[in-house]
Amino acid sequence: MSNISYKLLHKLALQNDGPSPFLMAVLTSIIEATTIDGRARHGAQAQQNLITAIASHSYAKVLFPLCHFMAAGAQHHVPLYQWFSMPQPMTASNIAACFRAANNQTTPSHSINKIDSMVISITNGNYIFDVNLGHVAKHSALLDLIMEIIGYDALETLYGKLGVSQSRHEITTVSNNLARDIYSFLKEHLPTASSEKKARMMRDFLETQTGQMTQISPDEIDDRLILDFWIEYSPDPQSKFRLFTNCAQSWVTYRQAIRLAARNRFQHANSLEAPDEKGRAEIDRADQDAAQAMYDEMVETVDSSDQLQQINPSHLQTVKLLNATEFDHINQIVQFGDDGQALILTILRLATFGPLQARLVEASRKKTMRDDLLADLDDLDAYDAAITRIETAMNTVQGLTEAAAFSLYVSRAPAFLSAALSLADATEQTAVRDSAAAFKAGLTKPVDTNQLAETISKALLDQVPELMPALFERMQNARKKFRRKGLGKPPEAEFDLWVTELANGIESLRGLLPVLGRLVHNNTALTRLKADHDSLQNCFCEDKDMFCTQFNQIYGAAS
Amino acid sequence: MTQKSDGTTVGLDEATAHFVTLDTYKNLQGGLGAAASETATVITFKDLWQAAEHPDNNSSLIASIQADKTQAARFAALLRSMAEFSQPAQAAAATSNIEKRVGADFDLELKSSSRQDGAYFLIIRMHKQTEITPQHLYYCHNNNYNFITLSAVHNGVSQVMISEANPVIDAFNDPTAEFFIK
Repeated sequence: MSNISYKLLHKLALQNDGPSPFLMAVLTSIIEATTIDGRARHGAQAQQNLITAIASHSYAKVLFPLCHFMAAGAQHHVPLYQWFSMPQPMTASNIAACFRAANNQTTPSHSINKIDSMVISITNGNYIFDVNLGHVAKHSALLDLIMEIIGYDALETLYGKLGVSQSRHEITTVSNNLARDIYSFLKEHLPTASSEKKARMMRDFLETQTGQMTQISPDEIDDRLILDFWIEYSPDPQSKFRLFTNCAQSWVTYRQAIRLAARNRFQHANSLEAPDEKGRAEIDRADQDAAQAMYDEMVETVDSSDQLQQINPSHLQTVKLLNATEFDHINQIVQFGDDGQALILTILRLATFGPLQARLVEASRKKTMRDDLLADLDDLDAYDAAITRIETAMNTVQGLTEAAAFSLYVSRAPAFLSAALSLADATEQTAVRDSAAAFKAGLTKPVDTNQLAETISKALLDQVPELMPALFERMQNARKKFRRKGLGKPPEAEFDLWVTELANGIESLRGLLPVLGRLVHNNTALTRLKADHDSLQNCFCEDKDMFCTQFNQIYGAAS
Repeated sequence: MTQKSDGTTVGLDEATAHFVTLDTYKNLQGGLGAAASETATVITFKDLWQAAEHPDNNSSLIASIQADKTQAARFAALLRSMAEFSQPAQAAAATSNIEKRVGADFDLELKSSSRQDGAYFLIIRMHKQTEITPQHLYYCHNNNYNFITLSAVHNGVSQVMISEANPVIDAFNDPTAEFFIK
């Protein structure tokens, strides 16, 4: 099983009618947009909210306050392009500064009651409305998407209309038109037919399995159900569940969807068109709740995947932390998030039969099917080996974190201290802080802050073996165990880049540890599997027969 | 083989609807990760802005914008919006050669060099004061956008020497052409 083709597996899994390349290019340009000085134009929450709003088609309720914002901007005679070319990030305070500057230069055509840091109050005849700039900042990325979809020419026309709008109805009309335009755009560029088809199949299967029950809990989606579903649907060439990996990941998503639905925040009852600040705050809260619910649910998995991407061996220049095989293997595990604890047998099946299926697909396409493709399955301890690989992956991540920290220590990079503090135990952390405090207390005259930080860093680096003895020993051992590119002597060239990649690498590796830790440690399902060796072997034998039969059905006699 | 969770129970239809949302979400997130190398090249507002702000450094970008009818229309709107001064299309001229284009914001005048060397002087007379220093004269002729870098402005007048082959001469003589200064 050494030459596992995870990359091929991933590529096959991605063959789907998902977002168009155009949409992805536009979203990427929005999310990666920077200001002149290189800061991100949109905050992390605004970026997250954009993806959430598109995925959940919940942009309509966001457009209404954004249209009020544009109405206020147009009425203040702020040119439309100014909002999209701000030299500062789109924060509430920077947006407020734009309004203030415009207010000083021109006489707005409508009465402005106040501009504080977060809220602009506007009186327009009998129509009084507030614009919550915090809300606008949280959805600034959506504003950019509107620009890309509608175009400057059309959006400027709408902006002009909003500038002379006299009633809430007129703003609502613009908001509704924009929502229709976005819907129409996404219908073309973000087809969800594939997801809907998958969802229908899964729903129907669940209904059958649960005896026509209309309620479902995550527990009902277990290893058995996933396998049964795959057996039923994988022979269908049109099915999106031909690959076991697709099937497993879809059911993980379904488990997450159940928990998300349970929070029921997407359907939170609100007066979404309430015009006053209280109403706006409620919209803001509901919207953030929705985004947060989605975010919370996804954050562990997505964050772990993102963390992993930071240390993709093909991206790093001066160091090599994980090798390609380790990277692909861990990527597969973290996709499960905490659902991996309940679906440990599915992970073992995926780790064992998934790569084999990828090779069968490849051979089938190239018409090079050979009898020895299943030779890997001769080992009755395949599941034991898969468990060992998961545990090894966990230990590798832990060890690389400490080895990378030791490299920083050897180079005497100040970045070591923050990395070390995150790896040290509570006693060691206290010792470091006490030492730093004692150093400061011993000063006899005022010292420049930067100089002080540098001096304290040097002093602490000298005391690492005494202040953090346990960590120091672990780091030394890890350094001996993991001899990889960039974990030896500091390079003479590109030293700063090396320090940055190591420091970021440590943070990324640490980010993976919670999910891996919960999967490997204190996981009763895993403990039970490991404890009964014979049962695990029997389980593998049964699965082997079943998967071979299924592969034979899908790919023909050679398998 | 499963562990018990928190006993969460929801309607099947509701869970299924959320599955579609989450699946779409994951598709988008996954696509973003792969976006750098695999997505299409698109012209965004940022590109239009760059082209309008720094035309000297973005000639190929301007050509790409002009090659796309939709983007050209967006660019035109942005230029009009950003322009400090504008001179829209003129009423049809009686003769094919216009000597002077008169506008509310500025006049344009074209004079041949007294040396008879084929050079021309394009004289821009601005009627209004501006806090910013005008940098470029943009013109839209036959749906194509081009620009000329302005010389220093003295008393509201800027004078640029151009060759007789410069396309601005054709634009100058075409009443339907539009000019912007920014």
